[in-house]
Amino acid sequence: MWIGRSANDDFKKHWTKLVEIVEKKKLYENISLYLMKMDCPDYRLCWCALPLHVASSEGDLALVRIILNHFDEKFIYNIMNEYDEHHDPINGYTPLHMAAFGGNIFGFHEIFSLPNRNKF
Amino acid sequence: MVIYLDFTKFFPSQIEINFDFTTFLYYSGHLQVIKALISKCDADPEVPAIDTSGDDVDFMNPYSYGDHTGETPLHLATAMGHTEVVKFLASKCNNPMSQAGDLQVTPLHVASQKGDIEIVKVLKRHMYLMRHMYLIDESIWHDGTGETPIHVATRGTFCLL
Repeated sequence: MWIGRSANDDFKKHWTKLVEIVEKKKLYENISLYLMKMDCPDYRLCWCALPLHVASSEGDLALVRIILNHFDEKFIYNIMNEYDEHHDPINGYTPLHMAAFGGNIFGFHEIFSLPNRNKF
Repeated sequence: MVIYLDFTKFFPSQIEINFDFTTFLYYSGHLQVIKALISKCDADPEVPAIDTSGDDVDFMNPYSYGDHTGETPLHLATAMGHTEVVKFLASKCNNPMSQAGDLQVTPLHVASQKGDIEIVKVLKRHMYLMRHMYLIDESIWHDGTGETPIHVATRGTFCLL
């Protein structure tokens, strides 16, 4: 399954696992799976979630660590703080929101997105 | 087996979602993941800790560049009842009483409306530890409808607040 550029076996294994999660749960609606397999961290899953959001919501610590360590620190920092104007992952929620919610990304979207976002 | 979670108990809007039991068991806070993520939140020394308007721009800031209604991870963990996650996040943030949404509710409002005594105790303990009177006195914390956490808990007949 792996056709990316990384030579890190752990990364390949866990990235493949992420691809399987995405495929199984049909999380890719508007993105090309090809981009994901090409080791591109900036693809969008459904509702614009990024890979770190998915791994965080799944509670997959190994995958989270690998993503955090593999990609550029500035890129990760921007995701964690929503600084990049080009990003709108899940209406502004960060991977930390995903992990704090502690459920799968479908449940999160169902509860914390339009039209339910004005719940508080 | 199907469990119905009525979110109207702690959210004003009409949200009712059903989970099957296996899904419900799966919903727990991911504390170890949170610890790993937080280690990367303040990694950039080039970005100031305070923005031009004087607000914190750290990971617990509810209004960074996102367009959600301001709820922090602490709000979410509180709403889902993840006590250990609440303990950890509360110990890491500067303001455990961030207000979110049109109704400006704090995590303490959410926990009070749920009647989650454990999380109420955790939040209050942390507020005392911070030694700020404005945090200690929950009677000054009004949400958008003018209700304090005590009002909310009283409406739900939860008397331990």
